[in-house]
Amino acid sequence: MIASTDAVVALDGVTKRYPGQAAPAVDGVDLAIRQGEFFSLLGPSGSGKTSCLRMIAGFERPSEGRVLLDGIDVSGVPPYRRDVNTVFQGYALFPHMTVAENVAYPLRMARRPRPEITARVGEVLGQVEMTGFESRLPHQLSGGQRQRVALARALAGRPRLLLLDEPLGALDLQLRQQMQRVLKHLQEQVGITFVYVTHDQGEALSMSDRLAVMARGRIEQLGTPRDVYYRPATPFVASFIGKTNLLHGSVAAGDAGSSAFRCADLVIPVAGDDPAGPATYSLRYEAVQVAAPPRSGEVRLEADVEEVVFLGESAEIVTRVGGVRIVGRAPGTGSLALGTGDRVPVAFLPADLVRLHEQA
Amino acid sequence: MSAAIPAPRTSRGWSFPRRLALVPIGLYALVLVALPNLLLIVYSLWGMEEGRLVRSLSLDNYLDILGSRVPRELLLRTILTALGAALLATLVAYPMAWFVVRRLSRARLLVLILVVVPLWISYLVRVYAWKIILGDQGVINTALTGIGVLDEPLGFLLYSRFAVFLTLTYVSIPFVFVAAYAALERIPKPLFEAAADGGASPWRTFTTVVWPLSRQGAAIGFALALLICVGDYLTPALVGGMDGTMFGNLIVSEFGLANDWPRGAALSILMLLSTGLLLALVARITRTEGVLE
Amino acid sequence: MSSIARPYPAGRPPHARSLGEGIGELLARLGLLAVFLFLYAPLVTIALFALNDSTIQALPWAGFTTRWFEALPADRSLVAAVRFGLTVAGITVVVASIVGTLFAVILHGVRGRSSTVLQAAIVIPVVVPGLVLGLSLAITFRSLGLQPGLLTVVLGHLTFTVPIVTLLVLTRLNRLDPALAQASMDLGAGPVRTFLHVTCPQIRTAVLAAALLTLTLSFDEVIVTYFLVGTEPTLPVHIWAQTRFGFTPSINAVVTLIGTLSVVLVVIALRILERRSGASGSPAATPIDHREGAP
Ligand SMILES: Nc1ncnc2c1ncn2[C@@H]1O[C@H](COP(=O)(O)OP(=O)(O)O)[C@@H](O)[C@H]1O
Ligand SMILES: [Mg+2]
Repeated sequence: MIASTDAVVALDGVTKRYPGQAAPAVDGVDLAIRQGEFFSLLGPSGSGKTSCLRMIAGFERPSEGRVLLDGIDVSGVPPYRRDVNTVFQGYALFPHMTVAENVAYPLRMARRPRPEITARVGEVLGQVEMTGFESRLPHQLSGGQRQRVALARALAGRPRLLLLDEPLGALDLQLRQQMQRVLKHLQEQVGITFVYVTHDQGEALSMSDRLAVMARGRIEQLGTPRDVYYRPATPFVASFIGKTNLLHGSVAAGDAGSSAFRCADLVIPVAGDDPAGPATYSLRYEAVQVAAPPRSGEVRLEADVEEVVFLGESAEIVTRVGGVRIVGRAPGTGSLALGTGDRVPVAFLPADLVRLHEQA
Repeated sequence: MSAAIPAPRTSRGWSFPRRLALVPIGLYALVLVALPNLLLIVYSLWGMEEGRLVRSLSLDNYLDILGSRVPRELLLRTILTALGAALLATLVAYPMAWFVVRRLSRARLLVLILVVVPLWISYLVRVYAWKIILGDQGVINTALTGIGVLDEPLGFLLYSRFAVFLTLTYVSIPFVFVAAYAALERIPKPLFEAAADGGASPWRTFTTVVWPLSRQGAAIGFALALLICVGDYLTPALVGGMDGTMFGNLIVSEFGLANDWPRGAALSILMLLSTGLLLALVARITRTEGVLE
Repeated sequence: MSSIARPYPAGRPPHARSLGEGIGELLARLGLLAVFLFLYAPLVTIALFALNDSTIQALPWAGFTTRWFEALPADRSLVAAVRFGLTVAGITVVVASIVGTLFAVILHGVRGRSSTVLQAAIVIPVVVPGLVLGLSLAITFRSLGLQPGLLTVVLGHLTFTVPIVTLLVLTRLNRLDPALAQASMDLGAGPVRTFLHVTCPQIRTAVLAAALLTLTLSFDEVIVTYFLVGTEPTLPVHIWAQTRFGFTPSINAVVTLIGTLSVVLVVIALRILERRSGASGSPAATPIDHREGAP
């Protein structure tokens, strides 16, 4: 199933069932991650991200399918014989070892000579900006510092692959944003392949080269952040990432090779090659302009304002167009004039309508 | 380990200094802890003459005890026997606890309860049971002669140092198990995975992570066992015979038959000092820095 | 490193490991079984010889009887010892629970050096070999002019049960969320009512567990008690005196009876405690005391 043999890690039809659990945690996942890539697994809690990661690390065995590292089937290879390191969700720093000892751990286990260990520990601690903390114990560090030490420990052995399970989950917003930049920068610097698990779409979009969106143990969509954002494949992806209007209706062929999407009492022209039949389209909030000057080629509709949600720099305007609810976005200042019951024009470009595949 | 939660200080409107509340505890400690220990020391410096207490301080008791062979050898033997029994109990109970924590999930609580249940049965009677098991016509000897493995019962089984050693090991195992289990169970599971992730084989995971994080717990169990074994005078009296006599029996005989309490007090202090020294050493060896959260 | 999976030593396929692991696992389970045989052999022996139709406690087996059980009520000194032991244990449980809990509350409320020192001080009797404690108490009581008897035995038992109650309750108090007490006071309850309505219900299971532990500890104590009894013995001291002559199987019978009874009692108590507060952690007795019948 997996074509690319240059994949650092590949999941081939991997399913994971836990004993006593009715639904599989991971359900037939195929995935190939390339050398040097920053790859994210994005999905809500319980979607099977951690399970995938643990199978790659070797802490769990797939119930079906294979995990390939550099093209080699590693079923039955214990974690300590895999050239893979993990940054654990709760850091899992050894409480009885100093920062330096923690970072040196994988090197000691690989029986590296002492001078090399010392030099390498200094180097990685420098990379995560933790120089000077060598002799502290983990409980003497702040959350962000522990996070950096965990990262340094995972990087110290120069693994081929680094797995990160919601590494920033426990940090506050500001620290998280700072660490996102540190991580991304570090990944580019060391060139190690990262597999990054998160439920935070912003994090996944801003850091990843590619990402897989997971739900209920399956991959819903795999692609670049732009693909996934602008070309969501399923209603789940469209609504999980960013904010979107989901329009349900049906497509019928019109005259002269054009097609029209009929949604309640609205008729919206769509691309001629959209197949006829029941359809769902995604329309991002920010693609809907409210009370804006007309543009050429746009679809322009009269709507009633139902609610104005002020968010600061922007505002979400909930409107009703006939029987259809459409939410649009306006600049925060522009929303001041709007109020419930106002009649306003809403407009969007047909190109912003994205046809979704119905979920199985 | 959760950090101690500071009690809400400000909002309790006690009108007298809070530390006054400690006075009852202080009085209790004074009468039931400080006084007995003080008197023990004082008594050990007094003497007996013709059945009467001589209230003059001297080191005669100590000099006399340390100067004669029997108590000296008995003390050494007692400590060695107790050390051996506590060590063997640890060697049995610690790996067992490790296996239970690591490999069993549903059966865990059952095992824990099954180990603790014998502690509910009278200590004295558990020791006495070994007398029945080990005797010439006991369970073991009867079985062995019955099936023809032996012509004569094994004499060394009962009324011997072996019997004392075995029984002390027996009573020690549950204590070490519970202490080791508690310590091992507190180690967060992700640390095992972090070790494996860092390239440590199961054995090296054990030596670099599990043991350092649980040896203090194991030491507490070991110390409890040692304290029981050193001070136990029931076991030697029941299954030890002449050979198996221990230091505790000496103290009891000074208290009872010989009625020389000052000498008994001096013997007690020597026992306290030697076990205290030993336990300090154990604590020193098994010290681990760092805080489990 | 070209390959991501560190290569196996030659000739060792991946699954060889799990076979070896399986054998190790089997051995470990057998070892566990062996330890349990060792732990339970004496208990089974006692129970069997309580049913053996012979005054000699040795093999061969002389046939089944319940006469040792039937003879129990007629044994006046045994019954007296049980009664005295229960009196001691009863008083000890009540006093130790109240005093120990009080101490825990005080130590929890008053932090500082003197409080730490006192806490360490009251624990000393628990970590001193039993016979040293016994002798030192005997000396003390004689010096104070107390006649050996109920009072001295109870005081002796208090020295090692009070600190156990204190430690168990203190552990629970330290785990409580201080926000609850603060919320209570925020809602207008004074310190006393906060203690009664908020703190008390939360430490109740710990106090009950400690009381249970105290009961079994006190009823079975012999090493210290031996130094403190007067003419009236507790049950274990009575048995201890009997063993000098090699005791009759009626002792086996009474111990089997009491052992079974206490295990049943403890199991019932644990069930009740669990049902009442599933969240407050297992009160499963933790043998803190090194003396004989920890829980
Ligand atoms: N060890 C386990 N035993 C049983 N069920 C598990 C275990 N680990 C995870 N699960 C279940 O598998 C599903 C996926 O979990 P997980 O992989 O942790 O998802 P995520 O990391 O995306 O939150 C969840 O329903 C979870 O309850
Ligand atoms: Mg997860």
